Amino acid sequence: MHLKSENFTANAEAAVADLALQKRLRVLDTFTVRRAAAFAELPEGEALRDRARAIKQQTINHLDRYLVELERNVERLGGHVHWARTGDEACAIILDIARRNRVRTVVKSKSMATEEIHLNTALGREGIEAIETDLGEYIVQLADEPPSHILAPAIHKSKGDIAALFAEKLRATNLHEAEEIAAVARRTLRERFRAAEMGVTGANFAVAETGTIVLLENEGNIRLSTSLPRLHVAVVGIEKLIPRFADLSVFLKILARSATGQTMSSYVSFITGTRREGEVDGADEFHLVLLDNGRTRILADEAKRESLYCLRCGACLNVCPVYQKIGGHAYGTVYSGPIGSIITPPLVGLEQTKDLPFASTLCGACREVCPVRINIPHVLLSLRGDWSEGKGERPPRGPWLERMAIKAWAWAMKHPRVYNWSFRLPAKLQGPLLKDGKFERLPLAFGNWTRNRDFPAIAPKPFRALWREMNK
Amino acid sequence: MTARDEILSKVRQALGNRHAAHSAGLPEDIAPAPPLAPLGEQQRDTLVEQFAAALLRVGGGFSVAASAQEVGEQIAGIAAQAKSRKAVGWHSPWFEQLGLTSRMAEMGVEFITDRERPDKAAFINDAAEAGFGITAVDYALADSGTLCLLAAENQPRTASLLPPVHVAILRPEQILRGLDDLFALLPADDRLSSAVTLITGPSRTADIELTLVVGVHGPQQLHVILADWS
Repeated sequence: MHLKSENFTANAEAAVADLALQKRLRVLDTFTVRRAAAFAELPEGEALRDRARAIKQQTINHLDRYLVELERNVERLGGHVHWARTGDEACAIILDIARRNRVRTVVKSKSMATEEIHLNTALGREGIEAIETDLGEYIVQLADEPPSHILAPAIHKSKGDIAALFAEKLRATNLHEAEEIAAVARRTLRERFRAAEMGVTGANFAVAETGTIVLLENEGNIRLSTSLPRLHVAVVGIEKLIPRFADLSVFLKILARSATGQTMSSYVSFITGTRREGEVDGADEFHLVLLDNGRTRILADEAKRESLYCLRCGACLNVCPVYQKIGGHAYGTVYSGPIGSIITPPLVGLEQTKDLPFASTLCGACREVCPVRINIPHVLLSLRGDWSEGKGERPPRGPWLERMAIKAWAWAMKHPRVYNWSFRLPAKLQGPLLKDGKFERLPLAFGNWTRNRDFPAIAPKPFRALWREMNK
Repeated sequence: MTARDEILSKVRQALGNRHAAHSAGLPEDIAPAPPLAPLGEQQRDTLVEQFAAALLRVGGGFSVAASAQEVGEQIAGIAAQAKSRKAVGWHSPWFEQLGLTSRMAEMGVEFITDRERPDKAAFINDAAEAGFGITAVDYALADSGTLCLLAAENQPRTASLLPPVHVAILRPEQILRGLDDLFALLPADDRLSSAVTLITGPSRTADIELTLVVGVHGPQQLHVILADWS
């Protein structure tokens, strides 16, 4: 079950009709409520968000310099830095490291970057077993499904679904409570951690100044992946850099709060190089794979550049009225929700993702909660602009009458007197077409507007008249 | 062109081929944060209370030991509860001073550090079998109930990770106000530890229907003993 973004409309319709999914998605409010509570107890929260944005902006605007600084500092500590232009190139690099070290088992922590490059498939083709160790990721891997949420990959599954899955795949029967399911995963995966020769992680941040990789988690699987296997490979998008070690103070205060509403994640690891002389655990070899895979395309487009500030907290998914109704799979992309709709088209091409910039009401809730205040609606509009200017392929054309009506409306908008008068007569005549004060079906070529929703009636008294009265 | 050069040249092109000098300095708006106010002596007690409250909120346990004797008793209690004859931990001269090592030997608990098991696989084997792990922490953060552990010789990473119970022994003077204090202390140079770990409560997940489950891959229990007899 891997949905495609070309079929977004059909996917979305199916998701909305899926009552079980609708029930699952309702719990997303929990994240939003907790996030609000976590920021309420942090008076300097708003100032920290501004600072975080300024740091990200600075980094991205001088990315070449920070990339070189990061590379130098990782290598100074004996780490290896690899550069990957594409996902395939990144997979080839990791496969090569695995082959040279006769790796048979890889333990993986949750990483959107490795989802993006389809690393598990690439390793599997070479007979190397890649095991997802985050509980949610482990569940979706067993089910052979993609994750449906940045933070809670198995949010679309019920406890019952998961218990049935564990019974089928792991022969663990009679599981009823979440605790029991988690205990089975702990036992099963413990053995894999101890057997694995390589741990693959992403990174929440890469610090240029010190060559440090920063990882946030709650379960402990990332600590195990970086402490037990002999090799540690981190796959990191080139936009994940921050300049200085002390900048982490700013980001650590807002990231967990934005993501889960926690003050701090259970575990935060700052990994700087390999284990040193005298240390008994930790990896012996560290490889950093810096991934472009379309990010320089986003960088080149100033209207969309700020998408690269994203910290992957998932807050914008939780508040999005579209995501709340359709979940992550319907997008048919690795990155779903509002942030996915702005970064995916430049990464994979607008042809396959043309519906995504339109999968938004532009309500702005995403921008409101974004820890680095990415103006997501603005970037969505810019993508819509690219589409109508034909940067994707042939622009979509509506019926002739609709196009004329929009032209007439645009002209009227520029001529206030005409605009003011042109709605007076329709306001009086609309009555017989309304049902419960709304248009259930618009006539003629405008039928598409009301296919999935009602169109509001023209107000009996125009706003301009109300405004005049209020200001009397 | 190598992948490295191609990516860097694409980045420079995307940013409009700025002159090298242009990217030399950091702009004012993200200059380092202002220095922190020094910590007053009377703030110490507040910090202990604040740390304990925050730790309890995230599901950690907290107790105060008023003597070396009491530290030993509390550990004996934890060992009895864990029903385990094996523990791993840090090798700390302070533990020797507290008489912890001999106390555990009396209880019949084998206490293993990286001194006894300098081999990685051997230490990990013991850590995976141990009923609990004992560490002395490097710092603690009062506002979030966080422990900060620096990996080093005698300070293995997995002692606080593989056993189902993690016992951390803390001194009051190790408690800082929060992250800003910590980043003022951690060196951003060659002295930085190979792995700095911040621990806030036990291991947890909410991946199944957002139901909180404590103890997934890491310890199910985190207990902090404050050694306070100054």
